[in-house]
Amino acid sequence: MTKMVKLSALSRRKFLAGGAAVLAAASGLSALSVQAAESAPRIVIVGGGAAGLSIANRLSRALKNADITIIERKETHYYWPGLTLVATGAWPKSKVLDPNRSFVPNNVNWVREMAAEIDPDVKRVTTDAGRKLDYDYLVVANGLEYHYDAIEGMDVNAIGQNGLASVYQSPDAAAKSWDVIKGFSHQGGEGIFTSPSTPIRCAGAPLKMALLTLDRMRQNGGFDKSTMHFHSGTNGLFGIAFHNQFLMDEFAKNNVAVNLRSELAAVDVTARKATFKQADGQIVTQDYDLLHVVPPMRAPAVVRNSNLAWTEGNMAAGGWLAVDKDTLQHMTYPDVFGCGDVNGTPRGKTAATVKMSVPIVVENLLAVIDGRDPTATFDGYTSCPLLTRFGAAMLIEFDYNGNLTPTFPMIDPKKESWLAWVMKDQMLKPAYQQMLRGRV
Amino acid sequence: MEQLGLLFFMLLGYAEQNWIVVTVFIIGALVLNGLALSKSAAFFSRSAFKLTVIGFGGVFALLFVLLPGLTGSGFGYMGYWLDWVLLGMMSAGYAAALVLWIYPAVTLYQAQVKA
Repeated sequence: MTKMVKLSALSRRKFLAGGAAVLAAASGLSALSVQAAESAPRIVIVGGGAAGLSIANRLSRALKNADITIIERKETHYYWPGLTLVATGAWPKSKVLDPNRSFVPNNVNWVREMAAEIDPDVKRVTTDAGRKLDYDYLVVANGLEYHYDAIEGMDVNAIGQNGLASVYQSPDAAAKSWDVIKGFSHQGGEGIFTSPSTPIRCAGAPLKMALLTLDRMRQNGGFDKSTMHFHSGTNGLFGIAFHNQFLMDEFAKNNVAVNLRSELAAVDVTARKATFKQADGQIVTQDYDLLHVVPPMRAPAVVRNSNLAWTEGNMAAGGWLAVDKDTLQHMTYPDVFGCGDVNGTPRGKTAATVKMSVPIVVENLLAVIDGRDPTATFDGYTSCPLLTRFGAAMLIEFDYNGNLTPTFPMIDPKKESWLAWVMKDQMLKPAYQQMLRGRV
Repeated sequence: MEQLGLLFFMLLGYAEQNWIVVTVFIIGALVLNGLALSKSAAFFSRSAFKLTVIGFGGVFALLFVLLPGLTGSGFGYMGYWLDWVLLGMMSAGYAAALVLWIYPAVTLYQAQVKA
């Protein structure tokens, strides 16, 4: 190798930089200039979830000299897409928990704190421990915040008691939700499922919870002893017309009363009463034996309270990150990119969106480091393996415009299949973990 | 091409997730084949091959019947032609892998019978 360098009359540094560029190209990234590959930018990644880890892994391979810092307090990584299976008794809780250290690259600084303030004008992130981290480039990937407090009387500590369930809050809450759902599936009664009007993580999860609970009720004898309701804060159940109709039909078949534009406003945990605010302003209170709560969601406070959030448009209320929906670059600060649930983009707060948008963010960030304009564009890809019952699912993939975009064209997204179930149950977590390591 | 890459990493991830089973399987196959090579006069024999094909068929049929149930599903939910393709491929794949155990086991059995 030394001879090669001498023969080509390259300096060692240039040779290594060239190697880095080749590596970057081989990993699917656009080739970097020697200058960019040699550079040592300070990159801060806020958030060590799926997007943050995946970006850290890709950047650490593409930029050998970069000073990359990831800010994440959690030691345990949650596999959020598996929580519906935990909350319906198909998976143990342990299956969705993995140590974060196995995904954080060795050459990345891991600050085990949380970002408390971002000042993009002076390019500085301050953590909740008071540490100040200056950056040249920032990637915001800190997910979202569950706004349970928006529901009057809601107490997350009561999940798992008195018929109260909520798959979203944590793996613990998902496991406790299963205790409640298991009991209800035997005894039956008044069952209520909710979905809020805000953008939410995995919009299919509230539906999967309802459909899988119905299946458990059929298995355990509670089906014929129950009256079921689904309250959605939006105009429909699903963003794709075909699947929306499929779900309406499925719920009708199972005698589930669907209430659209009906949002959970309050809950009395002790008395088991849920109060809904409907589109016409009417307030309706229902008794329940099972209430599955999906909280309203918004961007984390550190983004909401910064100059990085949308200030106008339909994403402003939730304080979502103001990024260009195509390049995922911040609308005002070109050295800032966003990835994952925090993004104020039209659709898709799923792991599948992360999988497809991480390479876009990395490629565009590298372009900016290289002094070029970001040109890679994201089509809004998202995916929902809609579990229709235990043993069958629909693998629905679509883009910003609602066009169905199956990765494997032979898999019909309008058909229930065992194949989609096997994918969800067996194969998607391995693929997800490869994504965290920046390979997929 | 992108799909093939995804499929490869999905399978790699699946193998990584089940690394204990994969390791035991590989060690078992190496030990069995090593023993068969050292103990049988003729490692490659037509009769052992025939018995292995029968073994492959048996394992394939067993998996074809059991796999839907083992994955928490059932034949009642397999209404899509791709489900049957996947079931056939999974059964054939696992059965083909088990040939690495079946063939040396058959060879060892035959060597013992002859002795």
